[in-house]
Parts: sequence; structure tokens; C-alpha cells
Amino acid sequence: MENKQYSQITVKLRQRIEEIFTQKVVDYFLVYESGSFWFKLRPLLLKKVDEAERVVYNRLCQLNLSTFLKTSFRKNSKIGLIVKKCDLLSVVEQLKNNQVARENLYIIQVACDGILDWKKIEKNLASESWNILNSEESGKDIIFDLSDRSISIAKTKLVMNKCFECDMLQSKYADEFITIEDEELKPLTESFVDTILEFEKLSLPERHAYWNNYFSICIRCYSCRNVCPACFCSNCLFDQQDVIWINPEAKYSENYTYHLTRVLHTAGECVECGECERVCPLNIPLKELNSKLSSELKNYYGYQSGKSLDEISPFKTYSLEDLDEFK
Amino acid sequence: MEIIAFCCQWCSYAGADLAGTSRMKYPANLRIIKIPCSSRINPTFILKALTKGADGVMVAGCHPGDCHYSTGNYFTRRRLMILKKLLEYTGINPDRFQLYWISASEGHKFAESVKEMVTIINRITQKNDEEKQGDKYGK
Repeated sequence: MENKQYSQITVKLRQRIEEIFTQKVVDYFLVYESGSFWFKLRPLLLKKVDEAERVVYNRLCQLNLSTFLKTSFRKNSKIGLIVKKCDLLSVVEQLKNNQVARENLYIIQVACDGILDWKKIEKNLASESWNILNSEESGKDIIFDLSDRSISIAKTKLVMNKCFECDMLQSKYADEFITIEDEELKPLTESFVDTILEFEKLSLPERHAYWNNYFSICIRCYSCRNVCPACFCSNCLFDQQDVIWINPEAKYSENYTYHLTRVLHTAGECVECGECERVCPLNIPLKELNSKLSSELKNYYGYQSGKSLDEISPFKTYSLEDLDEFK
Repeated sequence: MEIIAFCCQWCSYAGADLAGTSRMKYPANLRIIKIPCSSRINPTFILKALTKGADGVMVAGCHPGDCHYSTGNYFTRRRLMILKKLLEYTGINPDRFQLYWISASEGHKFAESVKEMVTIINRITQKNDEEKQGDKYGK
């Protein structure tokens, strides 16, 4: 979508938010506002209608706002929120697990045809990535304006991997859909390398070396757990003081237990939004573990998280005819 | 060589007991932890056992359909199958973790399972020594 279409959506959003506040449909609104750099956006909790001018929406809205539905003090108030298609999957999972009531939510789905991945921008532009003044889309390319010239890069090289699987249509769980006029969003059709299949060509010692490298440098900042919308336990296993499951030391053995436990505990609820990987300060590819788990669940139980409110997580139910590989 | 065994209180622990009273011989590398039902297993237990130095982990529960709490082992079956796939994905040999269905009257099956487990772990260790690479963390 071009810059002017993003501006149109932002204007429409601000209007709708003002109207919704004046009609007293919600008490708060979760939105994005501009941050300290041009490519950074902050989450904002709108409490008054006069602040609706701070709302911003562009192709760098990476944050999944549904993580803020986890906090407990707002359980009885009505909250509106802006979601992209991928964020709506997390909201559906939270609704399924009774973390938030449907009547307390007002969901505005906004059109999105691909979110830029800042790490890919840095890789493609290297040292110039901090000198960008403006970005604009033209056809299939994104054009970055630097001080002395412009660089044009194919959009499919800069967009997050998860965007290739999105159909970009309105979801039945959204109360409203704000989109661009006179045009339909076309899903990204370029195929990309399936990292799971590629990784499984490696032998066991090579796989171990790969993960050993990452889990040894993990500092256990718990960013991945704090940003995850599926990690909604009020008392996390790893915060327990009476039984200490993992030592505070950030070494391979403890980190391995922590990360794999987290993946298995969020198994039916993880929608592969990729936030864990995005916020990791050390760029650990955490989404690969979650993707592997989701693909196994799809293989064995035909389950896809976030698609429907009626589909029960496979770990909360059983079947007498389950595949039994054990003796 | 240490193997940690999680045995469900109603079936497999009684099976292990029977193996003992019948004086059946099985390797002594086992440490048994009694749990009320095999579905008590959190994947953290198995991961912690492996990362703290156990060479293998064995989980033993009632046969599907015969769980003392009627449906526990169906959930175990689902969870631990996925755990095994994830262990293999991150470079730990999935044969180090085995799940057996052992009932209270199957003392000999308990002894056979332990022997099989020890054989598997020995084979893995031997293969690793031959390749001069360790697949266990920490080496």
C-alpha cells in the first residue's frame, strides 16, 4: 500500500475512534503512536477522545497489541483495539481461553498487506539504514529516500515471513474493517524457503551445535515471555519461589529447559505471530521452534490455532484412536 | 549411566514392585520417581532431567483405557509424542526418552523395558564415541 493509502487509513481510524469514544462504546482504546525514530511505533492506551489525533498507522506497525489484554486490572472495562489479521488470531485464542470477554472488546481490523521487518531492512541497506529520511511504495518495490539518493528494493525481500501466509481478508471476528478504497489487497504470492524442511536436513550433532550456539548466549531477559499474547498465566512456572525449576544462571542447560518448556506450554495458543523473535535482543530465531510445533499439531491433529473459536486445542482433549507410537 | 524413571503410582510402580518381589533381574541404573498419574508429567521434568545429567528418561504409565483416573494417559500420549518431536528438532537424540505402558501385573515387562532402555542408551553412547562427537549438551 502506498503512503497516501496509509494516510487515508490513519485519518479514517482517527475519525472512527473519536466517534466510538463519543458514543461511549468503550472506555479505552489500544492504538499505535509514533515513537522516537521514524521506524519505531509505540503502543498507546487512549483514555480521552481529544487524544485521538496521536493515532498513527503505517507499514511498520509490528507490535501485536493483544498482549496488553493480559493485564488483569482492566478485566471489567471495555477496550477497543486495532488489529491486523495476524493479531486477530491471538485475540481469538485469548477469547477461547476466557482471558477476555467478547462483549468487553471492540475490534477494528485494519487492512495490511505486509509488515516490514526491520532486521531485513538492516540486512539489505547495511549502514545506510540509519540515514533513511522517508519510505514510499511503488508497485512491487519499496523506495527508501536517503539524503543523496534513493534505493529501491523488492517488497518481498523486506516483508516479514509470516505475511506470505496471510490472505488479507476481513475476519468474521472483527467488528469493523477499515481498508483502502477502490482496490482489493492482493496476497503476497512469492514462495519462500521452508526453513523447517531445510533445517531437518541437518544431522543431530549439527542441529545441536546450531541451538547450542543460540541458547548459550541467551541472557534470559524474559522479553519473549512478556511480549507473548499466548503466555497469559498469572503465575508463571519460572517465577515460583517454593520450587525452583531452573537456576538463575543463564547457561545452556537452564535456557534450553526454559525455551522448550515455553514452547510446549503455549502449544495450542501460539499463533506464530513472531513477536518473540522480533523482541529478542540477541536475535535468537525463536519462531522456528513454534513453527515446528504448530506444523506437528497440524500434521497429527489437523489443528490450526486462531482460526475458529470452536476448535479446541489438541492438548485439552483426546481421542481413543490417537496415534500411539509407544509400546 | 543414570536413567530417571517416572512411574505412575497405580500401575507401573506396582509393576516395578512386582518385578522386585519376584526377584527379577534388571539393570541397576534406574532411579524411580513415583507420580500419581502419567499425565502429571510436565515437559519441564523431562527436560530438567536431561539437562541435569540423566542419560535417559523413561516414563511408565497405565495402558490406554485403563488409567486409574480414566483419561489421564490419553493426554500423556498426546503431549509426550509432541515433546519427542521437539527433542529431535533441537539436536537431542529422541531415543533417550521412552514411554512405556506397563500395568501392575506386568513385572516382567518392567524388567524388559529397563533392559531395552539401557541397551538403547549404550548404543547411543557407543555411536557417539565412535563419531567422537557428543549429542548431549555440555560435552
